[in-house]
Amino acid sequence: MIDKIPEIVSISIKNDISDVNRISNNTRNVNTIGFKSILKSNIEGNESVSINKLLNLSAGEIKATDRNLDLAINGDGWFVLKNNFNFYLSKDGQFFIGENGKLINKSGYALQGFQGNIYLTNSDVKVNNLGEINHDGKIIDRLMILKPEQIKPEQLHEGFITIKDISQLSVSVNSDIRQGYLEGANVDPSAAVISLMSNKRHIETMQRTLSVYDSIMQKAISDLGK
Amino acid sequence: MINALANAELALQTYQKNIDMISHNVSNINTPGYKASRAVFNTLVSNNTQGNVDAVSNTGQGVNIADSLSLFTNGELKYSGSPLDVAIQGNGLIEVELENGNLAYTRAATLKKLDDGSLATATGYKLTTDIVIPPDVVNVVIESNGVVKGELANGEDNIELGQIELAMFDSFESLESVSGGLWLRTNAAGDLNVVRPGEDGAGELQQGFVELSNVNMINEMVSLMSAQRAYQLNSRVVQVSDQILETINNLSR
Repeated sequence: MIDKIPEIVSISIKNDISDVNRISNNTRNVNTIGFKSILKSNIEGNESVSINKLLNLSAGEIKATDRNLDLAINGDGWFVLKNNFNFYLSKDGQFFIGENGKLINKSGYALQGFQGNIYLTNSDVKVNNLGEINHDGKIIDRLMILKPEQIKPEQLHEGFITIKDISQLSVSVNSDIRQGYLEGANVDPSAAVISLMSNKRHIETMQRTLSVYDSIMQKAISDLGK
Repeated sequence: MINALANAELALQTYQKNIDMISHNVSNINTPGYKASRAVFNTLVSNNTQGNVDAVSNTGQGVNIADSLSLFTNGELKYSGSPLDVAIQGNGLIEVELENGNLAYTRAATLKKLDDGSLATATGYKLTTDIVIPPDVVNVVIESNGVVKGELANGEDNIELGQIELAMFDSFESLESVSGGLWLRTNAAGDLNVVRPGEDGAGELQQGFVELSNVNMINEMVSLMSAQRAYQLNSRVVQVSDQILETINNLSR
């Protein structure tokens, strides 16, 4: 039956638009620190999948910033942040000194070391490549750098990964911390523009398909009915 | 409607704001004591953590510039020879009083003498440390630890006039920047400690020097280029989204 054609056109266009939405979500974050581009626009089901199927985990470029509360991770680990009882993973290493000297990110979430929140009395702090925090001449804590294996699509939140339970993660062993640097987004503008073009053309093809189908139907109805 | 349009529109606004901030830095490249500001991009985390399996619609509420932070690295010190130019070599801010009696903090310490002999910044804000320079003082000496001494015309011993103190915050970056090279205290900046220059991590004073702005021209140019290209990329998304919507409107042509 040719009746399936409108349905196919409709589903195709819906998928194309969903993909354009995904691309726009990546391009608007082209300058967002630590952003990892999203690979899939819609994932069926609610199963945990390997993180590298959802996100492009390649490294963003690492830029020097001259600021000692800027940290970049060279490797597969993520910073751990805590807000109330929720934990988040983030690649964004831009931190600030908040209330009571607590080290926080721009959303106010507390950066986690192995001993919990990290407190500083001033911004004079050294972080070595293992993540050990040297403040006032002594090592006060070590940054907790974790690595997710399997995540559900619903855990993904624009550069963050939400986690309910830290036990589903493992400690990253091959992460190198760099103080005074930030990791840029790994969005590839050329790939984005090419996908946009192909989506646009695909929608046009579908439009053409529907209009041909329409004229065939027109012919069938008017000529056969004569 | 297509999300991409809204996404790209927000991104355009954000990068435009970013370019505004860069232009503000560039225009202040010769302002003494100016600290470069950096945009802090915020990706908002949506609180919806269940049920939704569409990775895109679940990815957050947008990117915006949450804040700007002033980069408190030291600017270069330049010799000016004026005895009332005081540069702070290191951390610390000088506390001044605004017209409305509120306190503000500055590093643009080109001072002048008011009619009553007290010290004020070049823009006319009085220093909170009470220092009065009597008319018979011909030369003012400001030592690196902040002690202000006056040299008298008759060549006798210098008289001590007062002490300039520096304000130290837990987090200088969180101070609110206002016009005239002034910063206001905020809750996020944490505790305020008033210390003598050279003590407790505060910088020393350098008489006869001004601190230039810490704007780095190369940094600003690179940021400008990347912001411009990000703007361009997102305007392309707007264009394509528009064409797609047009095609859809013509589905039954």
